Amino acid sequence: MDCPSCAMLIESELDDKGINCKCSYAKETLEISGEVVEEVVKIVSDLGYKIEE
Amino acid sequence: MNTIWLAFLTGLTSGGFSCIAVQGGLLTSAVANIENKKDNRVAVSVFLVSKILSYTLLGFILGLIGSQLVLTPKVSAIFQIVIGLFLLATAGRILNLHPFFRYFVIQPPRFVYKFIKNQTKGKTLFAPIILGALTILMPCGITQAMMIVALGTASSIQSALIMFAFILGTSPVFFALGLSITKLIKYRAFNYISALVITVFAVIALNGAAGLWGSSHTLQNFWSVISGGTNTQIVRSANIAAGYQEATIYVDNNGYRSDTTTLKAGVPVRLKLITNNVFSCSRSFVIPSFNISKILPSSGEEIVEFTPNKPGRLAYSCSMGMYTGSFDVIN
Repeated sequence: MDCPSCAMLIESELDDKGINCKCSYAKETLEISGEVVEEVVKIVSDLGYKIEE
Repeated sequence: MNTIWLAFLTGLTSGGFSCIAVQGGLLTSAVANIENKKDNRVAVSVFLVSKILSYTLLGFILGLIGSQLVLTPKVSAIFQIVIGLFLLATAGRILNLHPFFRYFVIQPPRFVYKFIKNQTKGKTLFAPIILGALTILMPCGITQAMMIVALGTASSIQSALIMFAFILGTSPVFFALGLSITKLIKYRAFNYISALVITVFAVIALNGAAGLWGSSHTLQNFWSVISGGTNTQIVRSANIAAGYQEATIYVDNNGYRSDTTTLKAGVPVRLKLITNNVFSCSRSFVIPSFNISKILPSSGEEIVEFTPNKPGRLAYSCSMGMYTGSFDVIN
């Protein structure tokens, strides 16, 4: 993520899909609730970002 | 005036790339709903004009806030130091030197982002107008740096001109290259250029702070020493009349020229400040050690009185610390 807007973009896209999450630009973390890991990985990847566990 | 040009060039080079990374997606979404290509171009133009106007207004407000915040030259110097450090941290963040620097960023509220995103769904030109104006709520890193610089000018006109010039500079990138530019920002060179430009602004701010603090460690003085300027200076003592030392400073658009280099400690000084068609920030004259701050007319004369009480260097400058000068006070 290059700026806070990236974090908000990810949050917003996941929110639109009904996934509760919190994305932090400063910490470079994405916190989600529920068993939706695969779907989250796909949405985030489609936005051009990569998730590292 | 140099700061305004620098702001324009910053926008033209790195600012446009940085802004489009943050705002380009929203613009594209808004424009994508308009099917006609001609209308598409009109929509981008409307977006950019709206953006320029809103940022110019923002600059005006920032300058107004800055002018209210500046109480004394010393407070102003502290303000400039904070600005300089923030800019250096921004450069560190862009270069990703350490995760710590990621905290030095102005983050818009989440509801603002959602509101802006909803606006992109409109099919009329109203959406680009609103979007262009609302981009002030989600500035990119370089824009944030420029806003801090504008705030530090403590002048609503200067601040508005800086923001106008910067956003005008970013516009060609938005208009000509569109989203394809987002691929370019992945190149490391872009980050280096951005960080370099912001570091230049940081150095200007910190140098201004040094000048406002009355320090001799300014770039102007370093340059004067390097170029041998101090060796050729002629010592000119102030004339004393009716118990006052009389000195005159001619205020130019590019700095100060004094007819006196040396003052005597313990004798009151009557300092005449002469301006003639001056429109730069040199009109905002300060003597930090006496907390003297005076806004001079563009043409005319002003008298400042004070008594130097100890020998040493007595510095004066403009309120931004860009233009400096000093007297030698002797016993």
